[in-house]
Amino acid sequence: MITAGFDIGTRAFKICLVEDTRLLAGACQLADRNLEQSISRCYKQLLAGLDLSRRQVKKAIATGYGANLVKYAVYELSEPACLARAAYQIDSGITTLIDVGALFIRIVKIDENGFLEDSDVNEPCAAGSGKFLELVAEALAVPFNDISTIARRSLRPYVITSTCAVFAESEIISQINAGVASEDILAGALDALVSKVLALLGKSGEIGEKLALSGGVAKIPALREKLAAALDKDLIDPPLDPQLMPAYGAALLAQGRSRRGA
Amino acid sequence: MVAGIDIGSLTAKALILDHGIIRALHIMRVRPRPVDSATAVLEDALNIAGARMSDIQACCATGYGRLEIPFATMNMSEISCHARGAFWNDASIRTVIDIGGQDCKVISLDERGLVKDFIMNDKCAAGTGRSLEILSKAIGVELSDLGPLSLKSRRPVAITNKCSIFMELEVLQHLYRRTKLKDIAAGINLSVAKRVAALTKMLTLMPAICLTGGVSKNAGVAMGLEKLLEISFKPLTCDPQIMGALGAAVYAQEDLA
Repeated sequence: MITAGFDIGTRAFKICLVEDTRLLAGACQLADRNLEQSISRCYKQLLAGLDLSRRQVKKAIATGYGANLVKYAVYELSEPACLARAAYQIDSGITTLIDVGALFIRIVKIDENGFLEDSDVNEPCAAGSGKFLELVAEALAVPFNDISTIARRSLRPYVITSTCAVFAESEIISQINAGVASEDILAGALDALVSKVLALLGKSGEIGEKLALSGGVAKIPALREKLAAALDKDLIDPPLDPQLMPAYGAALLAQGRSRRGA
Repeated sequence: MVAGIDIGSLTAKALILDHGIIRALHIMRVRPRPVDSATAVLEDALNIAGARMSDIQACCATGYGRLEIPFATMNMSEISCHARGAFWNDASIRTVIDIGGQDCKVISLDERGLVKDFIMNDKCAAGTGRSLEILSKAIGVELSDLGPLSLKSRRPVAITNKCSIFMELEVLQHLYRRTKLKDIAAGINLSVAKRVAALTKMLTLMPAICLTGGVSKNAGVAMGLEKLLEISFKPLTCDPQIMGALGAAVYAQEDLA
């Protein structure tokens, strides 16, 4: 059976097509003003690429901030539920999944049966979020894909003193003007993100032994390294695009099987 | 002749005082380096006054860039300068609410115009000019149009988030739903007023109260605050955005005496 999962995030939307538990195709696109049309267009392209018609997709589930915009979905599920399902699929031993998106950082705990045990999300403040990192990279004119390479060169990461993402951006602009190197500022921004994740993990209690990192920010290897070092634990790297995790989980849940049998 | 310079996060202000009379004032967007902003804004003010740098006997700097201005003869904190400026303008003022580009402060004055107490938010962009700037940009409205536009609204949208970046998202959602621009604008102004009102709760507001800083020029925010706090602001006879520079100039004059 083929199912679809839609994850409409604050910055990008993602779609996954799944057959049984196998990911057939996935797409990730930046959200724009005509979000609904863009979702439709992207979905149709994804289907066309697999030579499928919409009728062959038996069920679709939507998740994310804008889940209500997906007209194809039969119902909506929470991000933590979808993340837990996807995490269990890639490795049934994962105890905690850390998902860092544009604005939300989620800590999702999964029990030994693959069910969502507990989840936590950052308070509604964008300090140390993916969006914050994006603002910093933009101010430095560094493309997202180069963040890692450049940040790794830093020997003396700049310590960002502003707690607010908006103010941090202005702080960074004055540091650029003062001649602080791009790599030091970027490394500092990654450190700020790591400390935000650690603070949230600290509130979440027991996190278990097997951790995984997902979300758009997980595509930055330097961040992954910094977080792994700070936690002194290995972080499982999902075998699919880490940004697709919630959409993949939604599509898996649409398969409707018991998690144990999956 | 003395000068007061206020280098804020978004704008630089200069004011020239000549024996207790305001000869010139000027406001401009800041340059990357505080010293460049200070030089440019003072030169413009001098041109308006028809004076030269050599005519300035004392110059007091304030604002976050105040320590980096080589030609300033002295410097004072923003809190002191706003209090001094407002009190010089109107001696009945006992509370100053200042909403700047990157901070918001509430200052209590005694009957001699000295600072009794103050509270300040410079940790979070909500409730500052930056928040208004981000949100007006998100809906494609000029910052200066946000106030007038919002006054036409009868049903302001409710903005529930406290973080400016989250608010931006919320505002965009209203835009997607084709909510009227004036109702979104009113919601934006109210969101700033609410954050400022929350800050004022920590002090006792003694009348007369005045509203200063760049955001005070936004009638939507000003009226929203009056309503939320059940007060009315005493109008000032001078540009409310220049209060810090005015206070600085007054300090410079007192230093000469």
